[in-house]
Amino acid sequence: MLSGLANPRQAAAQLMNFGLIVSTAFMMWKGLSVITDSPSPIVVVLSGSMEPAFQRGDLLFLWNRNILSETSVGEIVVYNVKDKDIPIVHRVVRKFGIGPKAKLLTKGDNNLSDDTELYARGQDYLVRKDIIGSVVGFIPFVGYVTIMLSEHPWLKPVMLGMMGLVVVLQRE
Amino acid sequence: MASQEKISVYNLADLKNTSDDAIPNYLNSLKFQQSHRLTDVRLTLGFSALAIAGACLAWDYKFGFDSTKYYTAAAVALYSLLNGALTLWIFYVERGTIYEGTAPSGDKLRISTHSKKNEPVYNVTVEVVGKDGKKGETIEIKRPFTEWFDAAGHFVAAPFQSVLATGIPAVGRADPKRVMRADDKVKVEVGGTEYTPEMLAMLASSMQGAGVEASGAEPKSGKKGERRRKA
Repeated sequence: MLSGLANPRQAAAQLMNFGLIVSTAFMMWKGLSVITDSPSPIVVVLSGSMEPAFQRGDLLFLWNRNILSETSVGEIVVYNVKDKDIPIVHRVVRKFGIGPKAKLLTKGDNNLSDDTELYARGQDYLVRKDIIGSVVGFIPFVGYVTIMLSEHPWLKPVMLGMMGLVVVLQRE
Repeated sequence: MASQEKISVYNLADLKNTSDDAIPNYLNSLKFQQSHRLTDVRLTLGFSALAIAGACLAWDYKFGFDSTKYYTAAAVALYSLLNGALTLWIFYVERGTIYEGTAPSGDKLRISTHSKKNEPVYNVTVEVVGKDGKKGETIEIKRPFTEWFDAAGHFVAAPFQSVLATGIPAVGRADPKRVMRADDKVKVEVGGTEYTPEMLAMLASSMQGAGVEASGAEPKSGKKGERRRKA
């Protein structure tokens, strides 16, 4: 068990096993990212602005390629406000023009007004490039773990540490 | 000599792993030259994959997704290839090998082990290639773990080494004092008196009393039975 660490090759192999688990998870995430062409292909709903369709804590799956048709009115899209890292999940309610330079206006289903106030200063509309994906599927409630991890950041190293300990001490 | 560490005798993985760890220790102490070829290739494949994942993390963190997405795609593809190669290597080439080495006599050994689920039996397969390159025999040793683990879970080295030395000629040549010949009997020592197996058997049967007569009566009834069968 732990005494096996005296042998450097065995220690390296144990370390490698742990590293491979973490890196496989990471590479699977990156692979999904590349396939969907979205920097963040799975997002968690953080607010109640899209109720009753999506609740806080729902996990959303995004697709960012316009293979069959352009992003159109009625689609639920996720975008980041310029220079902010918080993804906002709202519906496209107006579209002016066509192609990549078309202007898009979004609004949360559960909000009274559209997103004009949420956009950056001087920005009145979104363009296609601002959108990081359209919602193509979702799993309810599963994402609450992420919300907990972000609201209590000490959970992250604790969870990772526990996983690491389990892998190193088991050799099955 | 029993080791200080105790393992659970009900955990088959622990039994097998402890025994697997003991084989290289024993053979290397007999001046076998271990070849780390298999482990080294596995480590190279694994750490290269890790390096690629690390690089991908680095450029994604520094430059963002959009500008590096083609590199990321290439990295993901390369990582999958390396990971797949590693899995194939472990499954097809290593195939449970826990020791590869050369005996002092020049023979090359390749030892692989496995144990079936819920069966506390240690299966050892030894492939021997002679010094001149001629392929020797493949030796299979099947022994229950109870032969070298005591009830508390300590690993006892001596009987384990005897199993290997008796079963594998190359090891037996290097460690002749551990080779058990067919006429070797295990001697038990109690309170200063040594009891041989014959003495123990006599003590056991005298304690049973009627057991002695029964064992004497059996051959007679057996003969009767034979006569009956013939008739």
